[in-house]
Amino acid sequence: MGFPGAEATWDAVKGAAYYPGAGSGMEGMWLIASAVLCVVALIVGARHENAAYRRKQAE
Amino acid sequence: MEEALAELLKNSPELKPLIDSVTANATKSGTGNTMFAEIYYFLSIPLMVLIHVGFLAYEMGASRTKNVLASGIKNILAFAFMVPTFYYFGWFVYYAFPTGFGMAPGPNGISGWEVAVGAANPFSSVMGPNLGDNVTGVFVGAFTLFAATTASIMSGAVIERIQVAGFVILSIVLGSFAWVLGAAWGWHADGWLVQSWGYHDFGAAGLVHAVAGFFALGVLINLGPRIGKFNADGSANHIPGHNMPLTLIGLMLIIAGFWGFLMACVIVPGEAWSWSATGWNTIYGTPMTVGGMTMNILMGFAGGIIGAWLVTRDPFWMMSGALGGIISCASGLDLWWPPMAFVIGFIGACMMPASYRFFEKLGIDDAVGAVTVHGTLGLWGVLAVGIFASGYPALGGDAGGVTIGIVGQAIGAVVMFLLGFVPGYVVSLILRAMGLLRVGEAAELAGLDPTKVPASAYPEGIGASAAPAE
Repeated sequence: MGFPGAEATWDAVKGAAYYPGAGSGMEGMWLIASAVLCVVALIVGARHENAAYRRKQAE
Repeated sequence: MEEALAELLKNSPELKPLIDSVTANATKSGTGNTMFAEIYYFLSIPLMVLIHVGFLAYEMGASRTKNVLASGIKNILAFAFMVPTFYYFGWFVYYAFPTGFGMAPGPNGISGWEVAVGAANPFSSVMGPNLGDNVTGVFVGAFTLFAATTASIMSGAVIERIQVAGFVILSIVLGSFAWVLGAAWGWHADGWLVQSWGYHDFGAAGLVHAVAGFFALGVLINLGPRIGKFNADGSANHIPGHNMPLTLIGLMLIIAGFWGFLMACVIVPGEAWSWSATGWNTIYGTPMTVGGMTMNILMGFAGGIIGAWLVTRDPFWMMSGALGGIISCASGLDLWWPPMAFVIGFIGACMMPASYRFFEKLGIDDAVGAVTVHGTLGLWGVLAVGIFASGYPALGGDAGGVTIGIVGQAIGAVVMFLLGFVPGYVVSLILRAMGLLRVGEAAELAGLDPTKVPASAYPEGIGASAAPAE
């Protein structure tokens, strides 16, 4: 990650090669991280929700 | 423009098939290469966000006080989960499957496995900041808002008894896959429904509204009605929401947002990927005018309100009729003469009460009439084009090509019904078996807000709901 050029200047920047992670194989890591966060949030949310229903049922 | 494409090809060789197609199209159409197109589609996005503002208000208003915030949370999360999932695979589906599940390239060279992998997979160089491509992300954004709209359509039908996690999963299946497949087949110049049958659905009455409406029907069958909706003898009770004015404002906001939605259904002229240098086109490459579309949206809107007023006198159905009138006209908004759009919208609105009663008699508790407004009227919109616009060329270009017809529209209507109903029914059946579909009975009776929401909609109190909505 970090700026891909040898010098910190925008003059030589073309295409997609300026954003963090490009060309270094790191895109996959960020993609997977975002997807995992979605899945984790969904699982934790479902557990919280079902616990609330059980509590209400027990009242 | 050639220099920009050459630069893009140099930096992103995986885009070669798409760039070849764009180059050929640009040579044919001529190109101004201005920033107008990017701004045009970019501005359609915040307008479409109004759809979700509207659905949020509409569904919270249609909920009882004990469920207001839970309904809102559901809407907010559907939108949020749609964004990454459409990025992960929704956009890919649109480009991969127009010719069918074999992912073969289509006749226009803008679909199939190679194009989808090159230009629409998350690892593609255009799926993020790219100084050689200013527009792909805007298109992805607009399509993401289309996707979120389908989830919001389903959302209203299932309020007050669906689990949030199950609802989010259903939203992802609908918004990032089911309707996108419909769009690939029937809203893409390479789509097999278009190429083989002349299917015409300019404003997405079938592939957005009918798919989402009948997806909701599939879910409702497995979800079941709210407690108190039906009596032992099978007769139905009306369960009023707590705030009709909020619901009406929400519906008007949805309609405001639909101007953005329909605006984004147009292909602007003068860009490398445009169909024409000077003329506005549909997604099929057929000519249209924004002026004609504008008059038709307004006429469908007015016809829907007046038709619903005639048959119900109920402000809820009048505003639903406004939406239903536009949906009734949507497939042919590029074609109608405005008074005809008024009549088609009027007829659609008049169908609503009978359609709603039909589903209610089947034991379906559709809390806001989404199956009727989007499903039934979506199919009516598709069929109306077959009835009133048969014989028009379905695609731009030379004479002798496929034409619009009632058979093609009927086939398209069946396909859109199945694309919605089957995944909605099957996935909700699985979720029910896993215990992820319906909330517990005690929670439903007590209300979802006091059960699981760490906030109160009306902390200073509001009038209580009346029986049988206790």
